[in-house]
Amino acid sequence: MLNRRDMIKGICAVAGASTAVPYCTASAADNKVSQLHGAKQPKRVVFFLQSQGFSDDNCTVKGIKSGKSLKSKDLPVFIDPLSPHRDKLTIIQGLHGKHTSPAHSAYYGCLGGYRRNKSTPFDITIDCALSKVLPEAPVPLLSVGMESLNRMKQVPIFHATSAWGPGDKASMICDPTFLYRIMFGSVATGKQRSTYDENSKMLDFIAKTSTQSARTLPESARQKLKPYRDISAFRDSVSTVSESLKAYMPEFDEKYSAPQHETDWHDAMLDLTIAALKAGLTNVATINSGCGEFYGSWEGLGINPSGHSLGHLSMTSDIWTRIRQYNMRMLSKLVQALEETPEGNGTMMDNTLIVYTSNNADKQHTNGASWPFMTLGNFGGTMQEGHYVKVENDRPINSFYATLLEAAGNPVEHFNMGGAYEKYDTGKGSLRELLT
Amino acid sequence: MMLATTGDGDSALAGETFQQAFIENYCVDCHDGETKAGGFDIESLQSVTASNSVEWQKVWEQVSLKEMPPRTEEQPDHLDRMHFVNGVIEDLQKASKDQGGFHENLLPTKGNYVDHQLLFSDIVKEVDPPSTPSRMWRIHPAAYLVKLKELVHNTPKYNPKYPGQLASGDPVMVSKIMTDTGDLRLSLGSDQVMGIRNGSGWPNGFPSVRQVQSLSDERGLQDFPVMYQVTSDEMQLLVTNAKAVLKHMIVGSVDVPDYMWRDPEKFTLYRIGTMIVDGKKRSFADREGCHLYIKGYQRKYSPFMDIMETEELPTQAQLEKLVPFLFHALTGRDPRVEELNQQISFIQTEVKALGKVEGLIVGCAPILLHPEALYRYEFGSGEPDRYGRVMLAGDELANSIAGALTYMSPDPQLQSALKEGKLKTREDVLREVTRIMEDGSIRKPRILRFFQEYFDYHRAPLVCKDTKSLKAVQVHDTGNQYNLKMNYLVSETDRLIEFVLAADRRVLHELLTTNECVVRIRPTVKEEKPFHTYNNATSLSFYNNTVTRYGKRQSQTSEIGIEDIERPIFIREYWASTSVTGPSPWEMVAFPTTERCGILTQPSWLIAHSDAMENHAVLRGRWIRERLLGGGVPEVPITVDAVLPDEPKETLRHRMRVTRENECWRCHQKMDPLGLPFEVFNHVGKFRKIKKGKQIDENGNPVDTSGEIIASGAQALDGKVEDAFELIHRLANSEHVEQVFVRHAFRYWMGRNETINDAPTLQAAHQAYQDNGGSMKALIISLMTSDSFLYRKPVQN
Repeated sequence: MLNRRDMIKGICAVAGASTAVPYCTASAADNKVSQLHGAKQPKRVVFFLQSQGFSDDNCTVKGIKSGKSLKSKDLPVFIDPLSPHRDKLTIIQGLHGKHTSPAHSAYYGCLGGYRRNKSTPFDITIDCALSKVLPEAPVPLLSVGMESLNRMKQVPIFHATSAWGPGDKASMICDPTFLYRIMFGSVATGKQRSTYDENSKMLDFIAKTSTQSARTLPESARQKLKPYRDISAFRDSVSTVSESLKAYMPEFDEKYSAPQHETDWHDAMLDLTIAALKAGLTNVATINSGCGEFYGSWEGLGINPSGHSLGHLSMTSDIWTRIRQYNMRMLSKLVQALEETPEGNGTMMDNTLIVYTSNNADKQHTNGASWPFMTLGNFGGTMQEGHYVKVENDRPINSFYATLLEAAGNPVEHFNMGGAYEKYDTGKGSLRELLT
Repeated sequence: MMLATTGDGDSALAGETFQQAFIENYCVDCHDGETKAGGFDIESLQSVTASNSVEWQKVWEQVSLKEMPPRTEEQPDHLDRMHFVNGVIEDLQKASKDQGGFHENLLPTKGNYVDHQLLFSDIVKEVDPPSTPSRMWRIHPAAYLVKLKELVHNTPKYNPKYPGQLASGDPVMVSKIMTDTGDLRLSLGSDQVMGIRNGSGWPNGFPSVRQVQSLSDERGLQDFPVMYQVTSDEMQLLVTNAKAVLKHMIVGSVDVPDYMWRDPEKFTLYRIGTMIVDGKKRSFADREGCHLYIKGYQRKYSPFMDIMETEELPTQAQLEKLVPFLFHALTGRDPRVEELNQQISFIQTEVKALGKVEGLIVGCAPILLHPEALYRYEFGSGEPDRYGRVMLAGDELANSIAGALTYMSPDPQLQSALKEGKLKTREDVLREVTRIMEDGSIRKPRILRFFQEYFDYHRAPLVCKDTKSLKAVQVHDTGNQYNLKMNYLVSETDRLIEFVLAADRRVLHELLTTNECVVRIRPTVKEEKPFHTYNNATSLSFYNNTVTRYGKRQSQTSEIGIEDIERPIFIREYWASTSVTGPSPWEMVAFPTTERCGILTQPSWLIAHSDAMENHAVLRGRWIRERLLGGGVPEVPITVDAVLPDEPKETLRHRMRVTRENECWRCHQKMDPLGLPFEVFNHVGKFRKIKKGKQIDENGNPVDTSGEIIASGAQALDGKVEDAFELIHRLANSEHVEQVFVRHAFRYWMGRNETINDAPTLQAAHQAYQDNGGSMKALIISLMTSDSFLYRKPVQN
């Protein structure tokens, strides 16, 4: 029988060969977090992926050696807005994703650590894998996308970076008004509520009539109509946390209804992600700035070029500096929001890890040889923070993902490497230098 | 050695024993626990299980593609190989049952895994006659959008005299330039536009409905029922789309500027960048101004208009007209009584609760999401024959025939035949299919789509080119300008294919060898001038730099009237316009036969098979291996570091020396020698310069264009070639290649891969093609009247 977690995952699934190839070589996927780490424990993780690249230059701190603290160091201009959070920041360089053949975007290969493929994920991605081992929440993964205003309107749901398994894509929601309605429709008032109710009635009618239609079909065909019947599952799951949602519901203001620029909607997406985390709607979020592809638009920052051509600019150009700083301000806002929310004996941030990187390694036309990451937080005391780490020995991004799984209480030898680790990974398991 | 039976000979070894015998005879010498050639130990694999299915998939792949046993070793008989492969597939299906099943063999990329020789010979006997598993075929997202478009857009009926003019039933445009990402999108209200001044205005200027159902991004055929179903999140978006379309139908366009909406007769529009509104000149600076609207505004009729004429709520009679109207448009049939009553009741409830407009929108949306609007049902009806097959029911036949050739519901004659009970037999289908094929007034966009997916040239705009590498080959267009030219190039190949199809003689041969090209000429330039004067402004800049060597323009008065067209054909690709006038921008040009030779030498195909920086010999070679030779190449192992050495001054051939290394060459020999002859062209499809009688690349290196056909499966084809032209001509004259083309057509029109049971269908289709002088019409008619098309067999759960 399906549990709620599976049911909700199902609403985001796309047809495909859904063979459950194990993503790890040890431990069952559904192990709950052990109590190894004392009172604190890893509870939630947020991935922030920027399109087009994130280069070593963007996060190289002058005069620092691997393993040393960032405390008294100046951060490069690109990530300077994170300066107030230096004690929580870890900069990780030296990883590679050559086997992902990124070039423009590695798509699912970014969080999966396998060969780029836009259409079909070859296996589970790390955000989904962590969702299976972190504490359960009504929505196992909230993936949001940020793009040009037009694109966000026209492509409210997209698939590019997250997957539950081979061929099993997880949805990315790109329209904040759509996400707002889903999240808060049942507890909202006014037009948001009435639209929610209208849609609910319509979906129920569709589900009812499709069931009637399915009765006359053979079993094999009835399966094809299952999505009709599942259509309201997401809505039902959200209603289980409606009270706490009410407490964190942002105002549906002009930022949503009449955005001046796409950045208004980007900000709205961040607000909704924060609200979802605070309300306990989800414990895993993936923010895709550029929707996991190789486009993107930031008119709101006074940047006129948009789309693919942005990738032709240097990662240290003025335009990319402004985009990067905007990313960092978002991360800063996220950290602050979690820090001001009590949880246990501390704050939500104490049990959180934020991971920043690009879905395309270091630049647009890249071979993935260099793939920097940054993390914020110590993930319930399991991960180092406030350090610069240069990973030695040519280790792949998969080793970082294995580290995250170990920190979450589910150690694995390799994450999604299959037989490739002999060629692409000189080591095994986690990056010890990142763990406490 | 032969392990199995030919059907009238020896008895076959049963199941597992046969598999074991095959492995012992052909595999264990090299792949036992000790030798483990290539690191693969088949002995320790044991029987197929979920945990070793990845390894067994490799076995299936290697043996199907005749990679194993190696060519230097003793080969199994065709039948033994087939039995072994089928056994592995069966075991994989059983072992993966609880993990979602094994479907790889059903994907279009694996179509060639069935032995060609078995399909085009009579080796296999006593198999059941052809049929297709009963199924629901998801309506292609493009076809679904056409259904919506036909509800809202006023587009004229197709006029064969103007093949480039956007017409009713045409696919909604896919354009990179207009949407940046090449999205499939229906812009509501765009039928009111006669033109566009600024490309960027298009996506921003209209509310639009986008294709939301997933599509494969793979190369090749895209539309197999097994690949897709409509998912829950797609359903959520389809709801949004449905509401947008209904709103447009009920209250009209919200995107047309208010001043026009209020009183369209008050203003006139010009094409030169200004318009007169209320007697005053206005510029096109604002986004709406980017669109040049037609004078007056005529909405497409729907029963909503009658309902909206008064303030009253819709009457029962009005809803009894509205619901069948929508039902028919979306599902191709009338609603059953129960459906009609249920739907009307729902609309009435919603209208009461939400008011007239909102109630109609919410109340009618479910019709746009009806399962039969999104799926084509193919279950068949009647008593099964002795093989368990049933023929498609009349309404299923009507939808299947229409869906095979068009994006529209069955045309009136097909509907009449259905109503009169004249759509029951193979002869009935032959009559209707022949009629549609012969009727030039019926647009059949799915035929062109087949050639796009077969050749893959339409992917050219998706290849992101590096600006520096473009400049290195004297292409200075960037951004939208470059994208626009990519669209021109694709359109040009479309038109060339339509031109060849109109003649319908030796179609594949012509497509592979013609030295004629359709090129877009800037309309303001006089015809008498030599071609080089057009160079920068037209797609000709993608053909060559040394334009003076082009032949003079040929005077063509072809059946499709390329010279007679008054309206630019290209508008169809990215403008939903019907009323721009002006001289034709298209011309047929005969290039020297030493420079152009069919589709594979068109810039669109060459660019679609290139990468950001340079030629992609592997992609080109792979295309020939798969689409012309009917072979295959195993999936790239994850351990392959698919990057060439970074030596920008060296030739591609030299840099590809790494693929000739031992572990790579076994697969690359099937591709590289077929792709490297195309080094006569650079990565944007220009014929490379000749210096002192020899071609040179952009670094001045002499170009080696030699190649070879290796292990083609048709011995006469194998051997060395001097260049792409010799390669193409040899392939174009091959019957084997023709048969492979027929296999691809089969897959496209059946929506599935062929099996050994389909051999009679394939052979008949090839025969029909040959008997009719290489006629595509004859080939399609043969396929659509075959048992494979007409019969369904229930799927066992």
